[in-house]
Amino acid sequence: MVRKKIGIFQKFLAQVGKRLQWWHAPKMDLYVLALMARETVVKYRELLNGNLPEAVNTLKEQFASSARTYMQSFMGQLKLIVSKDLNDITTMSDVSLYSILGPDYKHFFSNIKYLPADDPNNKEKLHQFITVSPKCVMCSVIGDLNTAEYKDTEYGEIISYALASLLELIFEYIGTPYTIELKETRCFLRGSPFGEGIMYLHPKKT
Amino acid sequence: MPLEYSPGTPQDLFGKKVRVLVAQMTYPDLVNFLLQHHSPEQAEEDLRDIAQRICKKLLELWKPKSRTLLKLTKELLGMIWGGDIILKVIQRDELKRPILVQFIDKDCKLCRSGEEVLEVKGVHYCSAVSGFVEYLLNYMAQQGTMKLKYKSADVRTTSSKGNGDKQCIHFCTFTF
Repeated sequence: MVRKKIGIFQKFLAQVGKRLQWWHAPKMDLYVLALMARETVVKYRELLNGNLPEAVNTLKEQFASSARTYMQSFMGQLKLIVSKDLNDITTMSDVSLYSILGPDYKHFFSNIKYLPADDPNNKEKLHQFITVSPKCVMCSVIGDLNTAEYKDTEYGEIISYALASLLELIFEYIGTPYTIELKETRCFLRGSPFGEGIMYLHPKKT
Repeated sequence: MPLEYSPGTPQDLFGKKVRVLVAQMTYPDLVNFLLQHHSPEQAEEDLRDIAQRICKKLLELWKPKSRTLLKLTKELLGMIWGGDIILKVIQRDELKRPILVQFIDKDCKLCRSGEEVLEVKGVHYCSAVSGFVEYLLNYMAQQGTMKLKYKSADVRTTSSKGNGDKQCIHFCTFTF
């Protein structure tokens, strides 16, 4: 049964667990991984008759889909830090990102911010999670390409789309009826000083 | 067009780590997508091509220190994602120089990603590794810093655990 809220003890265990997970996991160089994404898009573009937006979208969908598949096999382990309280999503996000990128994740992802639907500053009146990227793993490696071409693609949101997809999976697991709509509100490729994505939680129609 | 704001540079990423699982979970989709669009033989070339391009960019930042075949290959794989590789000389020329060597990858990270065995003939699942190694060996030959003074190296994957083989083996042919 999914708990209503994560307690202090669970949070403590999660902090220890994320460090153990990271320490124990086989790792690779982040630059090589980013280059893999870059060169995969370049190859897909060749295969798709030069259609860059479609090449980017293909990788985006593939990445989100494989992230979900991976996460499904780990849902049992995640029970400890999963709760029905939306405030706890920030803890879940911290633990997940740390276990993937280690302590360096904060260079690329600031702490996710939760904006409740009833917050006076929330114009849309939908629960929101705001992610900010001080630096972008994806965009860091395409400076030597024609970035103007990438500006109108979804290249910058490949990672946040996968994160949104994972969050949707968590909501399915805890039985919270939301679907997630991701909007990339700021992007380096479009001249913003940082990357920002907002995940809007839409009540699921039954 | 240069970016108005810096989203980060390759130097910001180089040396930082990420779980190898991220690459392992997306690699099968890449292989399948290539197979949907090309013949198995061409898909294998595509995998090698992607790896060579990655290695080219990587060498803009990474300066290998090793000067022997085994150490260099170990250094490359160690830098990318770790692993355990051994080398066997299969054939030597009349001057006792190795002209055909075998790299046996005892801990192939790419083949670990395949939950199911790839049953397509003509493509070796971890061919990307041969692309990495080939580009590096030829780059080092151009630099003239290797102890073995070969002109060029041609590396081909001949068996992959991802195809159901017992070991991942990459054959390297040297031209002097």
